[in-house]
Amino acid sequence: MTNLAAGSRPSLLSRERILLGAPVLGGVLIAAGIGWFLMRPAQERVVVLETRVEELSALQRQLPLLDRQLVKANAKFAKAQQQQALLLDVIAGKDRIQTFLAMLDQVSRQTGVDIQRYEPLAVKQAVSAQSPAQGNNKTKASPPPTDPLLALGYRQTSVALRIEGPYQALQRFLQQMEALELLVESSDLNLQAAGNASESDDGNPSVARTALSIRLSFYDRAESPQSATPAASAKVMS
Amino acid sequence: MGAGIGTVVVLIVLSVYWQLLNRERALQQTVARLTPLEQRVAKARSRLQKATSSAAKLQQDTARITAQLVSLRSGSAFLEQLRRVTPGGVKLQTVAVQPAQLRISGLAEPSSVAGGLEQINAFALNLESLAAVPIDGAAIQQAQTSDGISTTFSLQVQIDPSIKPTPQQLRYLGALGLAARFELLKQKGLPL
Repeated sequence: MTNLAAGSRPSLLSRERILLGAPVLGGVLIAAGIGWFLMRPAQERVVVLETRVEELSALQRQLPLLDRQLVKANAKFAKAQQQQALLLDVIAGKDRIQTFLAMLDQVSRQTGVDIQRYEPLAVKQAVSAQSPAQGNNKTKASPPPTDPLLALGYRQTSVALRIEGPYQALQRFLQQMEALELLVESSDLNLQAAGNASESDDGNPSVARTALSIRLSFYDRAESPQSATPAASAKVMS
Repeated sequence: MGAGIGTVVVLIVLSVYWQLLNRERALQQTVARLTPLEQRVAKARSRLQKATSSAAKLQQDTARITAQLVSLRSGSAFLEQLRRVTPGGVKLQTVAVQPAQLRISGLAEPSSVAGGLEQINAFALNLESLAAVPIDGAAIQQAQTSDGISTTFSLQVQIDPSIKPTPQQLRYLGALGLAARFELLKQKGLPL
């Protein structure tokens, strides 16, 4: 037997090591638990919040540009409104329809032509403008009018007219109608020689007369069904 | 000793956690501060979109109304043009204006310088010289001499509806009302 034989080799789980390692291990486990159950969700929330803050900061940077764009867009809208108002003012009348027949009579007397026939034609009007309350009625939905003025609540009134007089007088009549504040469109124009030149009572040769059949159309604001129409005015004329 | 190390580890982790909570709180405050801004941006975007679409619709309507206005034909200018292109020996019996063509019938009387047929030919050529009439657009349909002196005729003239007179041309033809309207709109920046 020798004193070299193994017998007093120290164990891995010695008392000292256990007393040192167990609290450390306990601390690490608690730290890991805190990390997994508390820090990880908190970290995820922080990431989400950081993303959100980044988005909001980007919006904050966009805001001045957006404000400038809005100012420009409003200015553009106001200009477009002004232009349309001007255009409508140049084209369409408002409550001037009642005086149209009087205007015709006045112009015909000024230019020396005779109005031989005056016939109001159908009035074109957007259905929605006539009765806005019916706009929600889906069963009777009508297609939008192709004429933009009708869509804006104006109505187009047309009259067929036959006038007679010297050619130059007819021309002056049309010139004066075109110069009225209310824009009058002439269409379906037909000219017909109404008679040969002959001598008048005082011996001077009279000018050959021409008959002009024409359709005159104009726009006015459709306001109420009770407002006067050319048809009503025509009765006064006859 | 071991308990001390374990405690230190736990304290370090708790300290990091506390910092995370502080960061979270600070971010929440920032988000709370910036959230009204988000609503403001959304409102501004909505207003911008509304203003842009409204302006576009207005401009579209205005352009259509303007196109409609420009497409108007001046009756007085037509009469003036007709007067200018009709030779002295030609008397018009009927003139019918349709959107894309004219139908004219009349009577041509010979003068000292030109015969009836020559005057009808000159009339057709004069009509073809108008801007709205295409080349070879005036066709003589019929010419007939019944009494040996005067010649009755009928003409058909094609019109290009896309050709519109300028305000200057309208003014030159005496259609001052329409010319003034066009000039006013042009002056106000409307696309004519």
